[in-house]
Amino acid sequence: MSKSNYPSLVSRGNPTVPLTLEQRYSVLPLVYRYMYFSLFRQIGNRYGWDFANGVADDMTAESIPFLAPSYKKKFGLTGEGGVMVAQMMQVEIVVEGGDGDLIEEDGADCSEFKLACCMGKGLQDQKFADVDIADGLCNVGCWKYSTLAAQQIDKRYRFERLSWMGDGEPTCHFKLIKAEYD
Amino acid sequence: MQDQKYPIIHRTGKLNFDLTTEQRFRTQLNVIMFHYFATLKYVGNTKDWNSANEIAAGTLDQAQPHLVDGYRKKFGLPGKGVALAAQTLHCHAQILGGDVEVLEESEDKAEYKISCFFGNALQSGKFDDVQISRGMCDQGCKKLTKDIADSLVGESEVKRITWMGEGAETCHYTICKVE
Repeated sequence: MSKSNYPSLVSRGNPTVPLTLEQRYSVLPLVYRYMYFSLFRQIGNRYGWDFANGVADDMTAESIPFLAPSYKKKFGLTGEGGVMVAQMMQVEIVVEGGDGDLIEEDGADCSEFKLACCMGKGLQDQKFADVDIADGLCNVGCWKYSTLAAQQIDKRYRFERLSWMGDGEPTCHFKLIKAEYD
Repeated sequence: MQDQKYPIIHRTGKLNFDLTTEQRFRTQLNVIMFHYFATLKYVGNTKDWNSANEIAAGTLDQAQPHLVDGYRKKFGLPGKGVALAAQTLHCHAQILGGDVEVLEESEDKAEYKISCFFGNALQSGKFDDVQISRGMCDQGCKKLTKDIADSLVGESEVKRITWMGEGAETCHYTICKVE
């Protein structure tokens, strides 16, 4: 095994069972989901669910403002304004093993889309039914901070969530709204 | 967008961009790293570092019962005894962006070096304020190694000869079945 570059995408060592990139990725989002719920299960059980949801809130606050411009540059996203933030949400879900369907996208202000989210699927999994983290994960983490990120660009933006996987829906359905008033 | 099993590797949804598996893999690892260290840093700073380390260790404790069977079935791991324990851990390391050099692998003994994505993070300087290596490596990875080996061979002895947390290039492990 020569000096490693991280991450290793294909083994340059000699494991008995070397995994392809696709095999690695076929498990990685599940490891993330497992780790996320397991960490918050322990935090919630020790310090209460308000604290656990507050941790999720705080972390998202730290990361979200940087994500949209960073993903735009990294992945060559074409969206501007609120649409750039909508595309950030879509990238995040795709990175984490999910998928998305665009219903409408136009200019900088119009975006409507559905997201099939691996973490949202976790909320529907009975294995994690005892982990009361939906508020921090979805309402605050995903929804509120996407709105705040869009409002950093223009205060008139907000995202409406028309359906939510936390309610058992197959996808989360979002629509970017730009108010007509100042 | 069809209803699919997660993670959705081959997407059918229509978006105005596409990401390769490599882009998803690389970015997901960064998300995991950020999330892991940021969560435990928050707990360490607002509560205490002992608790943060216990939580880090507890996460791997909860995973242990599922790993061997899950990876054995999914990846067709051929080993038995200590070899199966090592192969399970090697799969986990590869999934998390690391690599493995096997020095010896049999039903009774395994020796290997792991270059670990998380160990590399400890050396990066970015997370120097997150005092989590005890929970992540000692009570986490090293204990997980022994727990998995014990579950397969009864009793094992695990030695960590070098440790990335001390600046080594790899973590060098031996696992021996105790007769």
